[in-house]
Amino acid sequence: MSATSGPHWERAERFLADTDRSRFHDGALWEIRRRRDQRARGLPEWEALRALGAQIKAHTLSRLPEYLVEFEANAKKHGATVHFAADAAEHNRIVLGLLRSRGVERVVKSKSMLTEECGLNPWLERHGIEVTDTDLGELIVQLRDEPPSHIVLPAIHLRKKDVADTFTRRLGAPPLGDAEALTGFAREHLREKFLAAQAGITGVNFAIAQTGGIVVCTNEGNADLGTALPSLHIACMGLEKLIPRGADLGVFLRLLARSATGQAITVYSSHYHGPRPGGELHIVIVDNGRSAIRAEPEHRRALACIRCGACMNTCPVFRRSGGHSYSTHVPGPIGSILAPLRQLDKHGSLPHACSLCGSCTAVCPVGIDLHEQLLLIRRRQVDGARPVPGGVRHSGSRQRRWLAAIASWVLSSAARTARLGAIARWFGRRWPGLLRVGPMSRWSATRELPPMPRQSFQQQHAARRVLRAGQAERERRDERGQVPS
Amino acid sequence: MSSRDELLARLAAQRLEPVPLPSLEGDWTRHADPRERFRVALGEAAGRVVTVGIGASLADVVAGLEVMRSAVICSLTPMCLGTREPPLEPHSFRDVDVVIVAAQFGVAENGAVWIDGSGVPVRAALFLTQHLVVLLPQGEVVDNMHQAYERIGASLGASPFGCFMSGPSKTADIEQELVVGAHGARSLTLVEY
Repeated sequence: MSATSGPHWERAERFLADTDRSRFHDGALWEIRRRRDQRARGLPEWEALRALGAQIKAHTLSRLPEYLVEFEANAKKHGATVHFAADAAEHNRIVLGLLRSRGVERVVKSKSMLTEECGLNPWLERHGIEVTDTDLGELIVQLRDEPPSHIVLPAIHLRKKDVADTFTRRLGAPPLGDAEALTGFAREHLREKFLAAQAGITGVNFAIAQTGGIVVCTNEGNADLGTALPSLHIACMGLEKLIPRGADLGVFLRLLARSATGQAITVYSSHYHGPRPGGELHIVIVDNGRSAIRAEPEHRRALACIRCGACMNTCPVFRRSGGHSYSTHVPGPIGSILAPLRQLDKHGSLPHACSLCGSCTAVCPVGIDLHEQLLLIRRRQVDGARPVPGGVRHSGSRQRRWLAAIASWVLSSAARTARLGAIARWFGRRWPGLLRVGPMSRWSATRELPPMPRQSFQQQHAARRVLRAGQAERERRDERGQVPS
Repeated sequence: MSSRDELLARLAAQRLEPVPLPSLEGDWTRHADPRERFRVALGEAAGRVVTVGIGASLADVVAGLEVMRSAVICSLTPMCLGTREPPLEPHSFRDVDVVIVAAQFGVAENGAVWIDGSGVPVRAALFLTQHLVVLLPQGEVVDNMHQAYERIGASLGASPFGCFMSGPSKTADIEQELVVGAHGARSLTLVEY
């Protein structure tokens, strides 16, 4: 059922066809947004924290090569091995190489958007390695051969019945009715996977340059089990996960869970400095287009993202259209910036899945100017400019450029505007359904035009002015008549 | 050139405006009664708090906990007794019902406790057990996460593992319904002594 192709509006239509599901989705995410607001208001220093978070990230980015070297050196001191990957393919080769050389056949993985980005699961499976996603939501979507639809709540697009059916079909579970029983079943299933695993792969929430440590945050404890049982731990991170100091975590851990789910902190915030005794820790640092975004002054701030998902929960388009409507592993406002910056031709519809309401910018814990960046990408699509060096021109921009050129010719003259208005009103009165056919039908399919008036606003205004002038004249006369002379 | 050197060279060639590293000093919220705030926050995170009263002994209070009626109990601290020596092999914790562990301090703003890995020889103990009992000296509560990291200070990284833990394992991945006991401990009882 997951949409695998097509522009955002086309995929959204498929999600919206199931009214109950889309209403549940909208309501559930809005509830999380409400809880986030409650938490944020409970902290008088919330805005100060956001500003601090933004500045720490901006500083780290400005000195990124230095911090990468510092992190690498300190991580090595603790006995970790640090690998660098230029792109997804190299990342996948490194991970596979580590697993193969140690004879690993079964891997447990905790949530990592980076490995989704790199397509690690299908790559490992193609090479005969069993990968089990251990975050409950990720397990559910993995069993359904779907990608996660949200970076924090991977199965938010599904209902209980979908999960029960999936567990029955794929794991032979008895029919289970409630969330507690379903979770209990998954717990038992996954415990066996954890105990049998020969390696654990995790993402990284924060990597500390000063100490060479990494921090992984979960509520379920799946990353902890995945790293506590098998002796090989592979941690995969984008190079933007770096922070300078251990004490910076005080800022980011206060922001992360409050923004993500409205919790004061995640249940487990685990700090790893080197492998556990007798084990191995490998940290794979991935570029995959990030350094190109760093070179773009207008988009650099997008690399501050801590992947809390707050922009998705608040986005009116995301809440209604669902994560699978986005052609990318990170959906919602932040994904609609990151994906087109990499591949504009494939993800060109995403910046348009936005009403520019600015709610994402208002909630972002690290102050990313999300809606302004989305607008900027749109503007560049129309101009035909390349958003990032090496990016691809947007193929569908010709129609928009023509529309903009015609509009600017008409609107630059009052006479032309008045003339076109008269024509549009005439057509609109005679054929009100006109916009529902032809090239504008996509826009008007779910919108009704208001009834067209006979007169333009200017004409109506002029008529009213004449009317009012007459009225004022009468009032003046009445007043004079009343005042005793 | 390796991917590492290529990446570092590419980044170094990009000229970015310097941005100063901000100070973390701030007027961060403090609590009139941090211990009470901690108890409330841990309660919100589905943890239970038990206080050892004046004249009572920690060992007696722990022994009286309901979870202690389980069969297999491992204590990672000399302050309490278990029924089995903690195993040295991580997988052997699979049939352990209760693990008793000492925490260094609590955080009032979120109900988390800091557990330094130096007191946990096998970290699977904390996650594979069915129930956790966490011991915390009374008064060892800081107001917020800034103070928490100040307190950890240079010891961050001294042991390979350290964890802020706030209540038992949870998930809401199925229709946003909160379920306690996802993969890790099904319950967390904090005993203040």
